[in-house]
Amino acid sequence: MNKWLKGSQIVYAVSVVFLMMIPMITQEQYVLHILCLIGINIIFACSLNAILNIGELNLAHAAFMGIGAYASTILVTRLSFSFWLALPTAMVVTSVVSLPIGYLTLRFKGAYFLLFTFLFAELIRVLLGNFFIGIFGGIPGLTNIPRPSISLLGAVKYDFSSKTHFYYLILAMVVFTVGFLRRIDRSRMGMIFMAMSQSDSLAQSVGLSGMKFKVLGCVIGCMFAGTAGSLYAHFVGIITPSDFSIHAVLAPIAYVVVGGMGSVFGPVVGTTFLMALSHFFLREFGFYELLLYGVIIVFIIRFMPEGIISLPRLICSHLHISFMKERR
Amino acid sequence: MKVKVILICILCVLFVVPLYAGKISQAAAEEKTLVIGTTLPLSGPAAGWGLGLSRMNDFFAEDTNGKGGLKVGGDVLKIKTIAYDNKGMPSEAAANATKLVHNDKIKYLIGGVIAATGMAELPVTQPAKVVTTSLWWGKEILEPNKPFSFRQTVSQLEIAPAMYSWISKNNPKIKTMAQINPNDTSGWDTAAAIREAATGNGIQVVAEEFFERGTKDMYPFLTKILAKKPDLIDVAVTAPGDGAVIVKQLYELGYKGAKAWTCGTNPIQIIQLCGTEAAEGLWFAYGQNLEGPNSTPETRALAKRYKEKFNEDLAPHHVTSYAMGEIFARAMVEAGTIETEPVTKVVEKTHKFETVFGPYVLLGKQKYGIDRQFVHRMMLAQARGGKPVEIEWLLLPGLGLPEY
Amino acid sequence: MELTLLFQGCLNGIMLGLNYALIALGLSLIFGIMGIVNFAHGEMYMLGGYVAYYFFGKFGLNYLMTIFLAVLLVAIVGIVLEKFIFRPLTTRPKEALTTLIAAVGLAWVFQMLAVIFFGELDRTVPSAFKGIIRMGGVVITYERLAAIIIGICLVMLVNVFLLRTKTGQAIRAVAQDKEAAALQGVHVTRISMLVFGIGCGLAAGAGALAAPIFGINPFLGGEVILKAFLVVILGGMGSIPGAMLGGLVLGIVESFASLFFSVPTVSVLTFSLIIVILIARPQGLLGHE
Repeated sequence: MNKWLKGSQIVYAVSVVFLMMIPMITQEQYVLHILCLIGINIIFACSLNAILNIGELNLAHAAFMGIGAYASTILVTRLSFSFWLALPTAMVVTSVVSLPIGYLTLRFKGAYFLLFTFLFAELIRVLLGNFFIGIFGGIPGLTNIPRPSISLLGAVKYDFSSKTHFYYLILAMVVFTVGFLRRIDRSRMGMIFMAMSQSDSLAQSVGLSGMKFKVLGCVIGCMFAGTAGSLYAHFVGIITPSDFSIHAVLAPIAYVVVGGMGSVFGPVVGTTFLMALSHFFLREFGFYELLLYGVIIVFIIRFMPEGIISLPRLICSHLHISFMKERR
Repeated sequence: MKVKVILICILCVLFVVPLYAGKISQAAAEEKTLVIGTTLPLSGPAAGWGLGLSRMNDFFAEDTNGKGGLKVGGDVLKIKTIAYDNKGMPSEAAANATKLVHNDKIKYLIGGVIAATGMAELPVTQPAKVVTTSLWWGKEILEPNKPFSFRQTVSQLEIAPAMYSWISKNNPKIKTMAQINPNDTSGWDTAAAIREAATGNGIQVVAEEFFERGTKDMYPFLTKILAKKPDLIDVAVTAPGDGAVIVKQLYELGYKGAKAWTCGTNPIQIIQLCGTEAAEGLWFAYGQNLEGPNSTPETRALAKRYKEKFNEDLAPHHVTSYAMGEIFARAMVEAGTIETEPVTKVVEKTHKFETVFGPYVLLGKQKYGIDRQFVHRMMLAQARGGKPVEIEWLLLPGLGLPEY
Repeated sequence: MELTLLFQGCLNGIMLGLNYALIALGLSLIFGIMGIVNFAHGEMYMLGGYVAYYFFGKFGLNYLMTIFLAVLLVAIVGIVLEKFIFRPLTTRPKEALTTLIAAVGLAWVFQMLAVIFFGELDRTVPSAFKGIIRMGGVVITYERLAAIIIGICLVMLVNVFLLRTKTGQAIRAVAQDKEAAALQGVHVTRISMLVFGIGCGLAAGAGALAAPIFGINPFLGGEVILKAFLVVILGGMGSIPGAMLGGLVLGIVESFASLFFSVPTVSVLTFSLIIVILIARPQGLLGHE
């Protein structure tokens, strides 16, 4: 067991180093831009995955990303916070908001949870768009969101308007998120989540207190959604309420499902694959892009319902190669 | 272990392939071509706008290439067009713009719809000195610190004053009005512009409604508006489908007052959607009949050609993309280069243009601080007997515009 | 407030409510009986509208026949989708999510196919029933009245089918307990196919009924599905009376609130009301637990 762990740690280290070297291999602005977007979406997708494993279909996750995005933006543009303070504050704000919401909604199961999250997401969208327009910018949203910068000793040193700098920032956050979630996955808490996701009543019958853990899981997931939101706001530079609507959250849910829901890496693979597909390849098809994208998604789901991450297993079983023992 | 290795290999491939794909598309661009790019909503509710605009770019490229290409500074350039679908989302628009500017190395983006996407694109295009011409409405699009952002058609800030000045001059009995707009950015901006224009011309705004996109049944808030008994109801910047439902339902509810669709951009289609009786008397500011005698022969030809190819009616605001192609192509020829700075200077200097769409003037210093608003003719039309009947050219006050 | 205004508000509410109810009915059935979140439901509605456009508008087929045809054609589409895409997913884990994403992908495909085949612009369908009834300041058009009557007939047909026929019994059995029903000899896969077909067919029927009144375009599905969801939440999944009641309640609340408040405020009020109802009664007004 020990040896195996070490092996996988080497693999992670190597991949992280490789990712760090990408800006040195290419300075293509578009590639870096998309990699940054992919990174932001990975953080969102991983946290979504975490929550999906606790409750079921969750349509409100994008609303929390929106809360993080708006919080961070308002802190920086109106209250003159530095981005480095705004990001953690946005994470805290999102976590705090998710507490009562989690408590309310997680009582429901299955389809009702879905419907409730639907309501919440729509409510947030309407609120952000039509009320407190002075603060939230209404439907036009908030524009001209500044990039973060580090100033040392009063002189501005690093301005993150360069995509390379932003890329490293996002990479760091992705590594942090994935590492954090993986740690939880492997911890006692993770075992409890897994037990609950497989059979709620059974877990309860062996004494695992459902609600407390569910809410905790929800808070953690939403915290990362807020992180993604803050990064998104400062990267794209403009946020509107419809960026976080239900229609907007469907794409990331697809990333998670297509990638595979079992482990933390499913969303990583799914996000990377689908976003790279759409931005690097399908974009050339102009008008037909959405059609092809839809077909591909239906195809993958139909024939690989467990996601891309199950592909190696499928290949191995077809080739009758015995498969390395997995955690489960 | 094996699993992870395979996965990581897949990920690496996913990263590396596009790097080379990018290089390949760049190489192709080394040939003597001028690429006109655009990112538009080609899917989703705004596709009606996006598709028409991108098709006009294609027509322009076809026609120019058919005449032997564009002769700029000793080279003969073929025109190619690229259009990416941004689905109406700002983040997609920013990504598309990044691709067009940095990857495809395009210098001219003709056509753009939905102001939020514009606000996401400009931070990408402006530093790279890429020219954008668009239908992005709103004040923030044209600013002195955005010298390469042009607006290819008049916005509500130009249309509303002209429309209401005409209405009040020709219909002194109209003293009150109500306006209906979709609950989105263009709706809010237009409501503000119309509010100002109406009150400035002595018409009181007694009701304003913003409906959510996708509302089909307008009876609830229409009932409320009718209770205030306005003399005029303006559906402002409502999209054709929704607006037609509103006009139809106003008719059903028994409204007999004046109706206007200040920013309605496709009169023939709109009247068809409303139905002849319901639409009777409806005023359009963008009411030019593209196949009628008041349009240039080139416009008429374009309209016929579009109908034959796509089986749909061409709308006036689509033609503006073709006109932009013309204006900038001519400026490139005159400047002897495709570089945007000298070309922009030529355009600024030229200032007045004759295009397939008719005369154009570049204005805007008073309102925006910089001359980047292309102003063209606006024909006021009224729906009579199921057809838009042209009444007269609207003058565009407040811009120091001489009459054509 | 004048009395006529209130009456009109009431009438508006009923018309709106029945429209919503019809749309939501199919979604509720599919959701309740099969546990599938059919995000492509709006596109079935949209297809029904286009059937009306072509068969009634262009080919001149009788209006009632067109509605029947819309239901039939789209039901077939639904059955095909169920057999080849959704059913294989229901045997695998996490089917709620996989079916959701499959439906989303399908929705996109249908939207773009509609643009390719039907064009991207809005279209109208002529009305089979012209004329307006005005009674003392209150207005209702014949076409709306017809839509209400035909719609109610459709619902009653479905109700009778579910309550009185053997197949209907089988469907209700599956809804209660899949395994028990199978043990009783019910062919569960065939029932699932039928239910999905009926659900999609109902959406198309609603679409065909609404087409002359509201017009059609390839993308109206996305807007419709959100309203349908609200009705299903409110009324309770799988319950026909629930969908009707939910639709009516939503329609009436929206209509009345619109008389006094702006549209965004109405939305917030409606959502808050539904949240309150859900907290008190999580299964919706008439849903079964």
